[in-house]
Amino acid sequence: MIYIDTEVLVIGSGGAGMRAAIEASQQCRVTVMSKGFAGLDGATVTAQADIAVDSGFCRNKLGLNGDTDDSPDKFAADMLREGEFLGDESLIEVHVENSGKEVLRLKDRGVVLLGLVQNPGHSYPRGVWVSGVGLCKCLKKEIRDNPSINILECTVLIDLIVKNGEAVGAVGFNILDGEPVYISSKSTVLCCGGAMGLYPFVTAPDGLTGDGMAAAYRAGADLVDMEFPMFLPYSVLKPDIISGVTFTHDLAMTLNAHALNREGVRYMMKWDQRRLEHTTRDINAAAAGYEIFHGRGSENGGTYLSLAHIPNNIIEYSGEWFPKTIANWRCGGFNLKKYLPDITKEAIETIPACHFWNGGIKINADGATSLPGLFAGGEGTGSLHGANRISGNGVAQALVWGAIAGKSASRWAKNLKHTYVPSPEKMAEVVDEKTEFISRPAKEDPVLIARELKNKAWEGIGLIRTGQRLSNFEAELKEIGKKIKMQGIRTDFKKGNRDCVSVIQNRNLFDIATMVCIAAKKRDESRGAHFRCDHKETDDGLWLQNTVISLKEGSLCVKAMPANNCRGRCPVSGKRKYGEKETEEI
Amino acid sequence: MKGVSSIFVRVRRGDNDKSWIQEYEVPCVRDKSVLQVLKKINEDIDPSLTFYSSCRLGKCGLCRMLINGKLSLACTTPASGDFMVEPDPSGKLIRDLLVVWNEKNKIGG
Repeated sequence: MIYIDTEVLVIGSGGAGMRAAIEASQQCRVTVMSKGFAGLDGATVTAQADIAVDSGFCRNKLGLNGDTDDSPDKFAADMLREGEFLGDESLIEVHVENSGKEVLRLKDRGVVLLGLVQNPGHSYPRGVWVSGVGLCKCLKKEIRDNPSINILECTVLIDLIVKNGEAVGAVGFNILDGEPVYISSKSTVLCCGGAMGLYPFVTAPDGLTGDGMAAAYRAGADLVDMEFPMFLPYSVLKPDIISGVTFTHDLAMTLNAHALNREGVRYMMKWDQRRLEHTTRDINAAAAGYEIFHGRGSENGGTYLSLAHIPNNIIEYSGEWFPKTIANWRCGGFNLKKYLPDITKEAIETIPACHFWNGGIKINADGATSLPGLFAGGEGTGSLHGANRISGNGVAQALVWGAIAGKSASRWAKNLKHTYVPSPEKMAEVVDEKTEFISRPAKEDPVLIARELKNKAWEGIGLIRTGQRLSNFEAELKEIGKKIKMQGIRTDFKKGNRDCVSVIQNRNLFDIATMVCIAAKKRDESRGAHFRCDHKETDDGLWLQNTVISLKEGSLCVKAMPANNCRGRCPVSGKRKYGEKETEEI
Repeated sequence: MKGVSSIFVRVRRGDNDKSWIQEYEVPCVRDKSVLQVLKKINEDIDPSLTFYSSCRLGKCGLCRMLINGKLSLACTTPASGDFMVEPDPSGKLIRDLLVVWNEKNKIGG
């Protein structure tokens, strides 16, 4: 067993985790526990990445071609509206004031700002485009060079330790050695990202399995709006090798690609006649899901994205003004031309792939959770985006809220005299109890459990939900839960056993699936990333409320709480058509 | 017997004490990456095979290995026929294809 004593424990090492560690290290000794490799794993690396900053700040402070008519207040109004009025205004205000400062901080450290783009849902060009890889490199160098920050890599979080109602550390599992890890800390920051791995089609990296959210739930913290996982509507489905690649989304946004069902119908006409494929991602995804659900999907279960109506010389020329992906037909390390059909003649098969987690651990404007001593930042937290995140707010959230959570956690740690350190016997007992399921032989195969959970989640709590499907899924979860209790490792060896990671992730994804299901059942309306086929309207009269989930005495409790929209910006009351917004301008 | 669409994958396995080459016949491989084939082997054929991956887009570089003798990323290399994979010799070998390049684990908080 590895034992570590630290002041602030940061779990996760993407943008939020690294930013949290940097802030916390100004006052405290920090340990960063990373599931993989700091600055290389996590969703930030794969971000496209535009960071949303009010356009006036972009022009005045960042030297970009922004619009000074914009303001933090207008940015906040867009976030509230596109999040369907479920975002917490006290968080949104902090967010819009701070995202520019975070970008400025990166710029000062040599991160190149590649341009400014306007994306759906934003009234002004606010997407400061940087390289996700470049951003992570910058932060990684900062944490590696910082003598107050220790990094523990390849260590998966199993559970938080709670003593007298406070978070006092964590138990993890080191993949490289196959050894448990016990960490005593004065405060803990969860920056573990979303749980996109719950679904079969995913744009996010492999490790995004809700480890932080599930651990927070089991430790008794509140989670909010878990029914809103976001799907990127036009992710590549086939061929397999580029499945989950998202450049197709840019084609839809910039080249006016048409989304078609198997009958060749441009189905977005039914959903948003004015914006069509340029509507926000939640509506695009629900629409695609609706076609698939009704048997009008593509050959392999997705939909089609077609450029065939656009002359070839327009497609080629568009690379001039949109070099990001179209200029050389490369995306990440893929030469797309090698794998795509002739796009001047044939459609690309696409599918809504899980891209982001709108809900998560409930935090306040200081990044504090409902569990004393536990803080959280970045994607794994809820309250900020509401029912739908607009472009550029993923990386912005990681940077702004990682930093805030890190700072608050260090303040908490400074006010504590002692770290809770159990006796060696007690520690061994806790570790044995927490890691027993990782070392036992499998009575149920973890690979099969993961497949079953993903496929059933896609059906039950995917894009198109109904009360009946949710009830069926809840019953299926009970059976899967029995298997989870019997899962174990298929072969017994210590170093790098992938099954050890699988069993930990399955346990977490099971808890996440349960929360999504219960929250989605509770919300009997459609809003943002949550579409109910049996309640197609958005009900502002009843549902300007967040769903809040917590574990109380071993049982999951869900309640609806009025959204913190203190300025009352939501213009309507009563029911309206899903996706219809009041502010509509050309 | 080689099936209609199966391929043969040779993997240099083991750790610093002992290493060997193991061959797997993998059925139904179409339009897949080397990484997707390795995952298939681990999930369906041999759970003891170890490797690491993360982004699947050729961005993070964590699935770097020797593929047919050339240092490549498993996620962006197509499995277009039989192939051989070996751990990246520039890293510290943990087991099979799992290596650590720049270990900065500083333990002791």
